[in-house]
Amino acid sequence: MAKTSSGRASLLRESAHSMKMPTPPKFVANFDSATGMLRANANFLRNKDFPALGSPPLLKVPASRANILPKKARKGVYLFSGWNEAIPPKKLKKVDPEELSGWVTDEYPDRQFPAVAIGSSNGAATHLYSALGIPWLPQTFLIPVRQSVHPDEPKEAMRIGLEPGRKLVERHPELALHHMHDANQDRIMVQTMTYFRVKRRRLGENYRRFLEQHLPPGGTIIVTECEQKWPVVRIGDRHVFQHGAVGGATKEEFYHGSDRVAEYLERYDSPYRKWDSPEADEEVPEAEWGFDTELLDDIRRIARERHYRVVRMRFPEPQAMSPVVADLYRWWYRERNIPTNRMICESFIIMEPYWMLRTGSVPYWMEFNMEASLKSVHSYLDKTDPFDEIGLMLFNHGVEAVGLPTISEWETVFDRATKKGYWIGADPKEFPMDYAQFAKYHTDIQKIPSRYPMPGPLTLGQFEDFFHRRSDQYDVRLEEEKPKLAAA
Amino acid sequence: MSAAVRREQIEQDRSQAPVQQGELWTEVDGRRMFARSWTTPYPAPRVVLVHGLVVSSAYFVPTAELLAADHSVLAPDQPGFGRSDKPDRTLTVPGLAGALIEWFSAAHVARATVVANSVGCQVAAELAMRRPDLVERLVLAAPTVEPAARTVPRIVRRWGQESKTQSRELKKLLLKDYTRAGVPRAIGTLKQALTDRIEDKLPYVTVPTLVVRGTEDPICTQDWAEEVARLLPDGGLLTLPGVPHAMNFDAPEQFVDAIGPFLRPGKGR
Repeated sequence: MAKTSSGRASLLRESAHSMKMPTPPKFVANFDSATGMLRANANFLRNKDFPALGSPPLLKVPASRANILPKKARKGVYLFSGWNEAIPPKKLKKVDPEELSGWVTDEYPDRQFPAVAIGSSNGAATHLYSALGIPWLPQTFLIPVRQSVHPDEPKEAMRIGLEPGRKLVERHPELALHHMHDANQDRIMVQTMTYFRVKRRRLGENYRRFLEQHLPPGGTIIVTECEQKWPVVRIGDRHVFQHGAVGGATKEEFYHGSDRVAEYLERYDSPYRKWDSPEADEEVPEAEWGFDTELLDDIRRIARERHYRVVRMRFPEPQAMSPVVADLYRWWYRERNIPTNRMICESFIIMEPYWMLRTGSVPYWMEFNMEASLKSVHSYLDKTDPFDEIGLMLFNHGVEAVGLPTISEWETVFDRATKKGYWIGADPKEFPMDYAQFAKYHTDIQKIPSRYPMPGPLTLGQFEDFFHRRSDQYDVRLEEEKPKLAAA
Repeated sequence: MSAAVRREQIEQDRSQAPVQQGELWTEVDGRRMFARSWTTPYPAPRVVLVHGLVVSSAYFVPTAELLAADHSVLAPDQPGFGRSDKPDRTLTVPGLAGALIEWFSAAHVARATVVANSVGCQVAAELAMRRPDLVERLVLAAPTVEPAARTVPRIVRRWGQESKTQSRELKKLLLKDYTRAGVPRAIGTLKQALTDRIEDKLPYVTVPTLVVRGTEDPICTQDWAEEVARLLPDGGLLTLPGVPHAMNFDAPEQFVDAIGPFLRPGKGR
């Protein structure tokens, strides 16, 4: 699917909890960065792995057989699954942000945590939360709205989103809406749905209640702040339209076109050779990954009242976190006298926090499956001690988009391994329509023969020590807010 | 002295005293909150009384009447209890404290000494931790719930023992308050009280705090009361012989006598 579419008593309580899987509200995309990473981490905290991207087990079997279908039919299935997940515009009034955050908090086990993360979706940070044994409360969610528009008409896409978007922000003063249209990576999906990404600017009752009940005074709130920005058209105080997204094509290409955009549009039989983009007014936090700092007010307020530390973890773009977390895992394995010779590259929401630790593998998370991701892996490998083995699991989104590396380009990563490189659960000749990958990564990763016991969580102090000893190597800042005395 | 005789005396005193007893209705979070009030005609230090689980401010009346001689006293019914409106969802302990913080502002109480009993101590500790600016001094009478008793069977067993120490008048009052709150809210609030870890908060309660325990209290043990006082940065403990858990109703004279010097610091003991 498209990138963005989407003592004994306590043991008993936890197993009861895991039997009754909470269901997300109908209006939120299941197949999205926030919901996927949330489930991956919540499953981990319940000592479980992350099969089929957190989909119900029944879907796993048909997904693993998806490649039997001819490519055209596969595209249809993919399109239908997206359309099916989207909600009709008139149902937007049923959007209830508290229902959404109630579902998020129900995903986590009922226990006390030393820290809670709040903020941007980030796959590398998800592995950090798992290592620390802490929950993460997402700021951004995707509400896919059923709308029909030609993918290469961004102005029209913006126009049809105006009224429903305006009503949504009016109803919910705690949300900012980033209407996003990416005809490159999300080409299939944007034909049937419009991407409403909402960012929480207030904690709201359920997040607040979760902190009050699960983070004791003296605990830490880690604010995960991706500072990725993107040009937008401002529609209202809390409403913007974003043409394009982080990944394959550049900002410049979305707004002004290029040869490879023209070639791409021709390949997909589009009547256009460049996108007639609405003029951007300003740059704001990117719809999917960027952190809206308005939420900091509420975080600071509760921290002051309940004596929490606030640590801001800031980074300029999603993949900046990946080297930190890869190095952290490598260091951690070394501390535990476990070989550190295997790296597994993950992509988007194809990730496995549980099996990463059980197999003793170093996770390197990539934002998606585009050039920037490939470059990021290579530049990490340039700077680190070589790995004997490198495994690769790639998200498949069905579009031969601008900036999509070929399979042979992806396989250059394998050349960097001193012993062997391999695909995990992939059928590379089907890329980028290898939908069976969604089900197979989870079974294939278990074919790695190594098994190590699940370690106890790292303490936040261990992570902070690790980070501050080598912070000059990373494009990440970890800053503790100065506590302010006296509650106002 | 029996409770009946005591009540008669209070009735007599009230007719002579200049203290005005009244009701205060405020709106908090869109719901009405009820409080009993005792106002002196002259400026007097404020005291806010925070009731325990399922009961209401009604069981604080005997203590309030004694305190009212030289304090301006307010005793709110927390949301869901007594005469206050009921939120749809049972509030957590931090939720109850949040409502109380808003009630302070709605009732125009800038700062007060807070006297709490039983589970009310958990609410008051959260309040004092979050808003030390609102709390002058704090009295935690029979604080709950000791970690060793934090399961339903254990707390119910201790409760059973405690009910044997209750006077008939208290039992009658409790029955009325329990009926008003309803069984689901009673169970819901009990669960919340059992998950709330007061010991995590006590080190952050910086206001001067007095812990009071009666020797006839099976719910709050001596060891636990000592632990509570130890965890407080500025805390002390008073143990009152022969006094039960609900000391504010069943032993108000001993209780008020005992906390008097703490409530009026500087006046000598």
